[in-house]
Amino acid sequence: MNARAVSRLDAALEACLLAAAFLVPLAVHLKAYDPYSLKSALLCTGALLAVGLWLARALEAGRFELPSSRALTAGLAAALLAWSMLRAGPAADAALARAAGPALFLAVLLGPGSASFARSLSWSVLASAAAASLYALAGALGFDPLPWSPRGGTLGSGSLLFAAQLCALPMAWPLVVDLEASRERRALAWLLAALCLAGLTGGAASLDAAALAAALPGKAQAMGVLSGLFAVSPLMGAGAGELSLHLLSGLPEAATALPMLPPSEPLATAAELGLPGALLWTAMVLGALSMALLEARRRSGSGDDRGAALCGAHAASLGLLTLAGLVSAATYAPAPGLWLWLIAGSAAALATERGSAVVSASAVPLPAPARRLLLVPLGAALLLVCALPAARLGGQLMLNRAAALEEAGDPRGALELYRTLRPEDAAGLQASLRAARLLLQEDDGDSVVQAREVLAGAMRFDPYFADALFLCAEADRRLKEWGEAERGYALYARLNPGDPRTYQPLAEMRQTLGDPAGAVASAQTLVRLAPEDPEAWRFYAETVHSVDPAAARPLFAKAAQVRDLASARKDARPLP
Amino acid sequence: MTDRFRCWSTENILDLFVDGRLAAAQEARVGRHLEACPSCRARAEELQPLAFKAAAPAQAPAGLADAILRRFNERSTAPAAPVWRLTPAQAVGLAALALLALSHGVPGPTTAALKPAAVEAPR
Repeated sequence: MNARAVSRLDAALEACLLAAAFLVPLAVHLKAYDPYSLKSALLCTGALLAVGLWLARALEAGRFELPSSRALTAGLAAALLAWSMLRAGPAADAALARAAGPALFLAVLLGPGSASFARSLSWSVLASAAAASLYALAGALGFDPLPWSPRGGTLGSGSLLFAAQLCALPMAWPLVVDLEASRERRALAWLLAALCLAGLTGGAASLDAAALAAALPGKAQAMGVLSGLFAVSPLMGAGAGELSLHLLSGLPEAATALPMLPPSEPLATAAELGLPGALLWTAMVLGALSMALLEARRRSGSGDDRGAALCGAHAASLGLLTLAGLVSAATYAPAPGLWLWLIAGSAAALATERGSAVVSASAVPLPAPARRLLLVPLGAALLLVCALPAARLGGQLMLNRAAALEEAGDPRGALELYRTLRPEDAAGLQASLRAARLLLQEDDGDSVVQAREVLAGAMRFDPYFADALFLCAEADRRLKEWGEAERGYALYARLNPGDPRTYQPLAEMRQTLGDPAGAVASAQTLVRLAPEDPEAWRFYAETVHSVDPAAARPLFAKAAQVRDLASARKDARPLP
Repeated sequence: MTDRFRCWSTENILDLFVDGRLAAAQEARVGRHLEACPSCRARAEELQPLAFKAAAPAQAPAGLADAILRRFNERSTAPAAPVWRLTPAQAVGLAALALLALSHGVPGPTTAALKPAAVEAPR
């Protein structure tokens, strides 16, 4: 064993974890559509790098060390990590993001977890939150340095920024009361805490009650998806990383709210990993919280005020973040999620620091040169797995480039780029959707057939991709496949009963297929959803007329009335 | 071969054994191996801290205690380390932020939209 190399690997592991805690909340990439894709990529890469450094350290030292006092906690985390990997869904990069949390927890617990790491982590979290707060405040005052104005600054949403400040503020306490630190350091801690408080106050002041209330139906729908997924498979879950795909594809209304309202934890874990995953999650997080509180009390009683402040701050941070994750679902997003697992790991490490010197060591029964050779396949394997989040980010960039070409009036160029993306993730699915839409804009049969094939590919990956279902039904209608079209519209209507646009084509298909009663029912639903649309009433009247002309007369009158009302409203509008 | 693997395994955790950091069951196993293996036992004796070695206590040079106390007093009055000295983690984080900032300078379309392209309704 080369002791210097082991020491350097220890330092590298600590630096990796602290850098991730600082960087992930601040990282933004303006050339990708999804504000979370870069953060998710960094989270996965950081977790993989941490695991790799820990393994490299163990290979160099010739042993895997498990502190006896941390065995139970490490066992829970390892179980959750293993279960997440076993339940990985087809979206491998999303599954990796879900497994990154327990991996980071383990990396802290079995790696640098100690009072000094806890102090450094407090600095990282506080500095990151303060920088995010400063950027958000600058943006609110009109001094946004980047050509992008998200509501939550670099965090991506107001609720995430709020949760981040809430988590960071308790971390300032042990730094400002640390009498062994220099005056300059304590002043810096005060300044960063003040920035976080300003961000928190600004975030609270900017919360729009009306907007939050309007977003509640979307939240309810998202919760409905969660409950549905859990009910379908309570023990196994839907699969790690599956949730974001279901929410995007099954509920377009909820998808628009997704950046603001990601799924709640631990309910999201329950939906993806089933009851075992949810129980392990709860045991780890609540266990770390209660252990930190007890340790704070013990240290305070034994006169270790510095240590007690650290433990108390970690417990407070963890508690607030868990609550924020339950209410606003902050911890499903990459940045607060990363903090949750790092702070939980650090809290558990602090609580078990006493007695962690005694270890159970599993020796690697190989000489040093052979152990070092193993680092080569380890590095290669990690690089290969790191390619998954990088590929996802690459997909986002390609989608953005193609969408820019489309908006600049080059549909052919855009189509070529859309077709380079395979429908295996959100970017690929949306590329298929946009490509199909471009093809359907052309009126020749070949383009419609190609559009149909593109959509079929997307639905092979996700059979309930709602927008693709609708476009597929449109394509079938143009190809005069009335039965297929009717089935497609009907399925879309079942998945999205509140969307009025599907009922007119559904009624037309049913009329064509000789189902007048079905056609009337669909037209009736249309006017129920769009009671102020004169065209909807006219269509309803015409549909009823084909079945019963006498019954249609009052409906035509109603259509005329609605049209007159609509015109009167338009005339009454004041001129600018 | 088995003995060689056992010796490699023991050698890799010998320092933990000497420091008394192994769990009780494992410590007993290593102790039993040392009793049976002269080479591992010799290696363990090499790793023993100096204080435990049977040797005549070394004589400290004259004035050593005063010199140490003098250096200690000098250090305690020395100015504290500057706040802005970067740790490896801080350097990595700042370097990565700088790299991110540079990546925004690479030509290519940026998006002003918060929502992903996914949420656009089909026309």
